[in-house]
Amino acid sequence: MNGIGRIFRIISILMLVCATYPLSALADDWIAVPPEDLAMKDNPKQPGADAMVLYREVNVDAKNSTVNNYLRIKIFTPAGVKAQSDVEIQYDKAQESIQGIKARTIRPDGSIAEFDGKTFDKEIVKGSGIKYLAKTFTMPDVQPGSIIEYKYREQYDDRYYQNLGWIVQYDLYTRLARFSIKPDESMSALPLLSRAYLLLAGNTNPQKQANGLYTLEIRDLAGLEMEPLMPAPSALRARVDFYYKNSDEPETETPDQYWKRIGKKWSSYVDHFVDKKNALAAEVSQDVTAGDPPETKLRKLYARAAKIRNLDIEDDKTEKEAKQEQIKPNNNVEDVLKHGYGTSFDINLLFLGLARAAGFEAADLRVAPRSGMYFFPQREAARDLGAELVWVRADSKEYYLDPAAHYYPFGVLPWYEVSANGVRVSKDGSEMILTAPSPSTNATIVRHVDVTVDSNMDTSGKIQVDFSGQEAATRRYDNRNDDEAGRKKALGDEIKGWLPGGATVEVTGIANWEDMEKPIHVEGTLKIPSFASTAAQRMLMPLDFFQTSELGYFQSQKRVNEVDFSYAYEKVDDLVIHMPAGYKAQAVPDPQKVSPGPVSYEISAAPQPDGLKVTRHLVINGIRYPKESYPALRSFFSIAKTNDNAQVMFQADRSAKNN
Amino acid sequence: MALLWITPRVAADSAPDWLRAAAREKLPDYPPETVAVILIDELQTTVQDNGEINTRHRVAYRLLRPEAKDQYGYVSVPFDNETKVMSFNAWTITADGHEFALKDKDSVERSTSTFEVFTDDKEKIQRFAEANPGSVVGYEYVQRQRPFIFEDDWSFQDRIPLRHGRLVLQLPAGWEFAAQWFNYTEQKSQNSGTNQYVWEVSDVPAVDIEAEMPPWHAVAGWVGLKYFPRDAAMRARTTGSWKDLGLWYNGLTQSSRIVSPQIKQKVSDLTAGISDPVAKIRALTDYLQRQIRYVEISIGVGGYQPHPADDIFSHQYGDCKDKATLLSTMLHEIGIESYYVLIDTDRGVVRPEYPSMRFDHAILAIRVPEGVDTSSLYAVVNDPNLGKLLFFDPTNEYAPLGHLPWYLQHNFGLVVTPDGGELLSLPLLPPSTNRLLRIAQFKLSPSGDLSGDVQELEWGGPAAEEREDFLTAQPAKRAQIFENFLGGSLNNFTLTGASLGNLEKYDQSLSLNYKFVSAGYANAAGDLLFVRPRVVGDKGTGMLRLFTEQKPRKYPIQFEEATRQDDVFDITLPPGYVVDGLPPPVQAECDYATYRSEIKVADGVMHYKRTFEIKDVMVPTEKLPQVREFLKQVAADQTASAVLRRATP
Repeated sequence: MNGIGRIFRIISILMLVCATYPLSALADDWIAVPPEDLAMKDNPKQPGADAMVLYREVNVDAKNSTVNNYLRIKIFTPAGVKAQSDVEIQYDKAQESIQGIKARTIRPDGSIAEFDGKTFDKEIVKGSGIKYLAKTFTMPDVQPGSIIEYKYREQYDDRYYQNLGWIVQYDLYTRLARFSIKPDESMSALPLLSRAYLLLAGNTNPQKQANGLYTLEIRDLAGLEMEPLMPAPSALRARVDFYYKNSDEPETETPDQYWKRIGKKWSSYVDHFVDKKNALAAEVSQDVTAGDPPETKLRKLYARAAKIRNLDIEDDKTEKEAKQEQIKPNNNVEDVLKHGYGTSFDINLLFLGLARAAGFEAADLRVAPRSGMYFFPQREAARDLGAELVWVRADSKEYYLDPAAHYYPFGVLPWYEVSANGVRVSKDGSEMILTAPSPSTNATIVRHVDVTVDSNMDTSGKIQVDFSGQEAATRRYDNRNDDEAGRKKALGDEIKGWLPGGATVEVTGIANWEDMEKPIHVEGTLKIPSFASTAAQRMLMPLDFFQTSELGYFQSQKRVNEVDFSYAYEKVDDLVIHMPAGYKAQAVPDPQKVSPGPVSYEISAAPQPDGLKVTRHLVINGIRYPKESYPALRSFFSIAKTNDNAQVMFQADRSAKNN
Repeated sequence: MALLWITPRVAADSAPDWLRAAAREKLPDYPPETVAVILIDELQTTVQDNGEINTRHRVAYRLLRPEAKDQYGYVSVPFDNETKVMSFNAWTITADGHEFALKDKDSVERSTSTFEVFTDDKEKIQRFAEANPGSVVGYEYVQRQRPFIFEDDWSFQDRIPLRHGRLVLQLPAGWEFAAQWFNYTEQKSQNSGTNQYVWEVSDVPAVDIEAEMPPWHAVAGWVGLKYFPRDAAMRARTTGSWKDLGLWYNGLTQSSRIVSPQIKQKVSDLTAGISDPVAKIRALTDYLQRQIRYVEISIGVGGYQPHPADDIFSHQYGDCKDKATLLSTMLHEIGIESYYVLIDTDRGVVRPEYPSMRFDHAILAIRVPEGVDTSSLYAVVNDPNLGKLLFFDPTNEYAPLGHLPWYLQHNFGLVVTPDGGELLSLPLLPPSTNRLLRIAQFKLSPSGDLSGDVQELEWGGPAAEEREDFLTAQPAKRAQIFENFLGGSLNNFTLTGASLGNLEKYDQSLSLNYKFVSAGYANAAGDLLFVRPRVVGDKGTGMLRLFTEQKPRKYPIQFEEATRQDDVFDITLPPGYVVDGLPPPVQAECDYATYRSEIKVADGVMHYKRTFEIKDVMVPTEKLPQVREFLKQVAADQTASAVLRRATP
């Protein structure tokens, strides 16, 4: 396009914008800046921040499919300048445009640095019918003490604009935020409803005002604080979703009524999908024998379902690959058996069908995975239940199983489905459930080391590691596309990371990789330079080779969020250390045991004729801890590391040396 | 029937003959860890008389291991406003002979901008179908470019072996070229007689990847090409010499440093009342470092050409060359001349023997007037032609005037003057300019608890690094920096106090003071207490981790900068305890560094002091064993413990 053409196009766009929106929306109608905001040096309610949101406004017009955004941020530090001054607004060009960007910087003395209007479209990804872009621009003359503010409009194509909502909680502390939504009240419009998530006390679902708007006002909302071992950010971020109900759905329901209706709907689908009695019976007769105890039967059926190729855990296919393979959808369990592949949902329903066919009581479970948002039934949001598994009763024992997860042995759920809230569906509706916790014994790392310290204080020998349950499953999943050499490298690097700096590890063998019911057994050799040190005729060395890595998550003395371990686990170490000839253990630390609540640690060392034997056992048997427990956890891991590093002293036997 | 008749036949996917031929070749044996092999890499460059360059690039891989899918399962082609991708096709021939073809329309495009607000750098990506072990994948693209300068390269060596490589250059009549080989034995070209030149390589070994290895272009084989047009005017775009390059860049930037009244006024405000020339310069460099925000927006020639000084000043932001531009303009107003310096932030990329625009950064060389005392300015070079030059990086916010960020030291920079360019070696600042002095008083209780009060003073590099850490952290989170540091040395601690001095006074030493208690620091066994005299701080453990592979390292390593770091610790022993054994003093040395430590005990106090000094930063491969041995001795001393014995009940 030549220069003249380009100018014409810009004018056309401006005319279109002006024609569509009242002039007031385009005018520079900035809100006045109070002098006290200009003078502010820090956030009085949360001191020590780089920046804070003074004011934020999000106004949704559902009928016109627009969202008007306004943001005013006070900058306190140079880091705040860097973090806030470059703006990037991502959007899907096929469905929306970003319009009417206005911005300015208010210097600490109140003078204005106007934004020159230069914006750029950065391609996030473009091709195959998609065009995700980011509108980028940068603010002029921003210094600590400045206030920056900008506003823009998201204009959606009304064919796509269905998911409305407000992300209420911003990354920064917010002093005041106002949200509104103007519903589409045309005759054909469906009723608009809302569901809130983690709003502050006093804030409830937005209510319709006399002017027809739904509004919400938030004051003094802290930003999200990122910390190690915290819950997923999506679980902590306050939000409000708006949605439309179909005309065949009741406009208002209690949560009980809602979940009953949803449960029945899901149950009906499940029953329909597994309604292939002959096929299932034939399969069961091949997989189990009548004399099998109930759990054995279940195990066999679980193994059968887990053998089905799970399309969801495979890498995305290229268009060519998908076309070549001609994957067909499964309409029922018979299809799943016939095709030999399926989605996670298909596979678990096959298992559910097989269990029922074998005479067990079995039901479909939907849970909110712990890797995402918490589940609040009163939100009436079926989509929050993003994970699906199977409940089975055998004799009086209840099982929560997910054979589609493929890498997990019988009885072990993926961590995000453990202790997860959700519903069990049946013909009568939904029953609220909490999946069973997973004991620490379901995720163990057992390390056996047999090493010799030489006269140069270097240590070398053999190592064996067994990863079981959750620990094995995550490694099998992470390295599922690797071959033997790749797995050796990955596991060797992991083991090296447990050891002091400068250690080398060579993995010589890996066993049981393909047998999900068995631990992954790793064998190798290791060398640690200068692990022991000398002092006169003595040699000193710490008790355990392995670093208490958890302490790295607890360096800070302050904590804002609760502490979430992904899963309960255990680590068992068994070390045999051979010393150079003539050295005897002279001073060995006393055995230690600490077990405050659901965590425990013990270590002991026993002198041997030629060295030392050390055993250590760490148990984390609980996954969620309130932030008030943080100091105790920090202290626990500190004590563990202190005892891991307690020195054992070996004395050179003078008579031996003199020989 | 009619419908069937007019339906066009859909052609089955079909790979080109060159790829089929490559796929048929029997390969030699490769080491078992080899994930894939490049069967052919052919670059054909055709230069037009108008300076336009067409490039056709063909590459084929045989995938050997599953890991190849992540590394070679897709291909990307870079382009920008000056480079058009004319065609882009990719194919797969599976182990069982199935063929898949992808066309340009199957690719996706994305910006390769990361930290920049905007650049026009993009890439097209194709993902091969069935990129599994046994498959052969290949691609061909044709690019048309209008380069700003006539230099090009062919990087033929990869992380995997190359079976056959071929470079074809077609020049217009009357054009000349120069080719230079790097990190590989030079191959002679064959001339077909029509100004076409062909180079070939075969069985090029893989480059092993090692942590902290030198930059890729310093170790992998590549050919640098320069084209010399027949037309004298076009020859100005050829990088024949450093001088030529300087002339070209000087021309490109000539209109950028025009002063505006507002800039004049700002210079006047900043330097009002200052008579000392160095203080005047510092007033301006401080302003550029701290007030002008780093923002990169570069489109087309904007990758090389700075924005006008007035734009930078009015926006109060710019990228590295913009910051250099505005500073140069402002310095001119106080009678100080300065020159752009083009440099690469990876040492080893710029080769003095090969004039090239392989730079990724711009700084400034400030011409120091005669008679000005430069004793406190370390980054000074005396050039016989240009006089005393003070190198300064306005982009790095934490290295004050007189210092240089470590990655610019011991590096080559092209100083751009109106008379052309001159490649200069930037100095490696001596250890005494990059200091850390840590003085601490500790007190040990009979139960092994340790309380400590530590004072740190930092200059040069250590101060710059620490300032960056603290100033990029929220004030409320600065305590975490102290905690993370202590956590690297102590198992169990509580930070009881911390303060910073001179945090924003960059030209002064940074001071840190922190207090802590560490329960169970010394562990007891009967009447004995084991205490590690090196309480906090670490020297060299990170470097020691570079030696954790089973096979010896192949490539050199480098320390960041020369530095001297001292620890002087006094540990008051618990009453009733005497020393039963002390770690021996250590005097470790290699060609690049020294380490001394000693412990003395007097009047119930254990005095521990150590000095760690790095004298030189580039360690060649043959010297690595001695550096490893040195680092092992340092590590051993750091973990050594003293033994105390209870003398009285």
